[in-house]
Amino acid sequence: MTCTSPPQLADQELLAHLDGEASPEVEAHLVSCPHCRERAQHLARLQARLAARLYRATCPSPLELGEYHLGILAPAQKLAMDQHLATCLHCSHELEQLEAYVSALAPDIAFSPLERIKVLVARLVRSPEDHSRSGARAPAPAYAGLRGESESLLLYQVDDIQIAVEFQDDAERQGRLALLGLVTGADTSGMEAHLWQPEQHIAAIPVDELGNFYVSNLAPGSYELVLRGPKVEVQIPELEIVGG
Amino acid sequence: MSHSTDLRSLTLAGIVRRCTHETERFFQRRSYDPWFCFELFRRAILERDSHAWERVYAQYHALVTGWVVRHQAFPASGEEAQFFVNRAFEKMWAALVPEKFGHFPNLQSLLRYLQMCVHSTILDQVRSANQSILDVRVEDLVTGGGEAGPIAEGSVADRVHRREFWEQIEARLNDEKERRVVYGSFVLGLKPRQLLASYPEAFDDVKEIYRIKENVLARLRRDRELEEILGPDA
Repeated sequence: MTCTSPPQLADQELLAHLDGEASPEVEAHLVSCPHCRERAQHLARLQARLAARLYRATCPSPLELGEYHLGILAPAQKLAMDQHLATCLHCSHELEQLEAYVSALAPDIAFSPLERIKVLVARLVRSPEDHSRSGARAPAPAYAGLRGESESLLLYQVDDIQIAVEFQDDAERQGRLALLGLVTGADTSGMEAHLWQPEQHIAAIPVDELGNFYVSNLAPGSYELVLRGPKVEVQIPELEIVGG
Repeated sequence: MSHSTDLRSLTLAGIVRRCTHETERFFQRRSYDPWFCFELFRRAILERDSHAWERVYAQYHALVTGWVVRHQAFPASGEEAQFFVNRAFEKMWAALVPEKFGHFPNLQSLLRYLQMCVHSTILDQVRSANQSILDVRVEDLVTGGGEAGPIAEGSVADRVHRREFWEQIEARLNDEKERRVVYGSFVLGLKPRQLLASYPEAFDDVKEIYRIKENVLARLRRDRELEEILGPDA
């Protein structure tokens, strides 16, 4: 087979055609010349085979790129990577993707001190003995209105937060007690009250919007009370629950 | 921070229990002790304790699943998240040999490496898919060209590593201009206009790049050794 419109097209013109960069004259020649079209196809197959074997042949693996990003490559490897990244837009792009990806996931592995929940330990500021001496009234849990003012009220405080706690006999369970609590001076939305004994979680109760919480069916004994809110946690490490 | 000698005296079950508890505190944004979980990784990687590694997987696979789902390339991958989760843990287990453990002073650094393994695993799949497209293109061109018989590269190709093949090609190039044209065109996959934009100081214009490419390809097509590797079109 020979060219129908000699001289035949040069290989560089055929290459431009394959890239969509050929002139209108070249395109017109190819329409009418099977010989030059076949030559173009040969070049296309050659380029495709070279591309299939060579594409990113010198690029490091994604793992190596990742270790480069983390700064744990050996010095010689790092130098080679620096040189490669200076010329390879594909690896540079993948490195940018990695940096953006781990940056987005950073909160999953660390949080700043500003994000950390503030943990406070409350101290006992008023006990039933203090109440009987002074005669002053402390804020009482709302539920206590059912029984009247209690003389078993304990008052804990840390910063501006006060926790009033009192105990009653559990009306439904003989020998068991109920704990009534009131939190003031803190945002109680989303807050839960947790009762612990050594190695054992006893109860988790939501604190209502007014700061009240209630736990029943408790045995007399020593407990830890932890009030967990979205931004603050208040701990009462030693809470002695006695009969009301 | 718990003393390292105390941690090492704990049973694996005890370490796992405390790691779980402290992880829960972390996600509640409360003060937490990361050293139990770090000890779990230490035993797995430094002591090559496969039981400890199983516990690492159990502890973190839900978190890693979330990382997979949040990767921008995951939706188009066509794979289940669990596929990438398993590959990421396998990659970390294989890559983090004891000699490398000194690079990881705390739990955060280990989890960052695990994040990198997720990205790396997904990227392996993306690169493989891109390579498949190139391989299919070869097949299509050969089939469309009406060439008879199988492609010669099938059996020879197995012997030639991709990088070694590049070195073979590079050895046949005469100067830096040819090297840039061939590297840019076939290793980076750039069109001549893109190549000119990348190296404006190296080439006069696009025509020069096409001229260099024409000369190189003509030379490579006359090379008997490359013809055996590439097939009859070389």
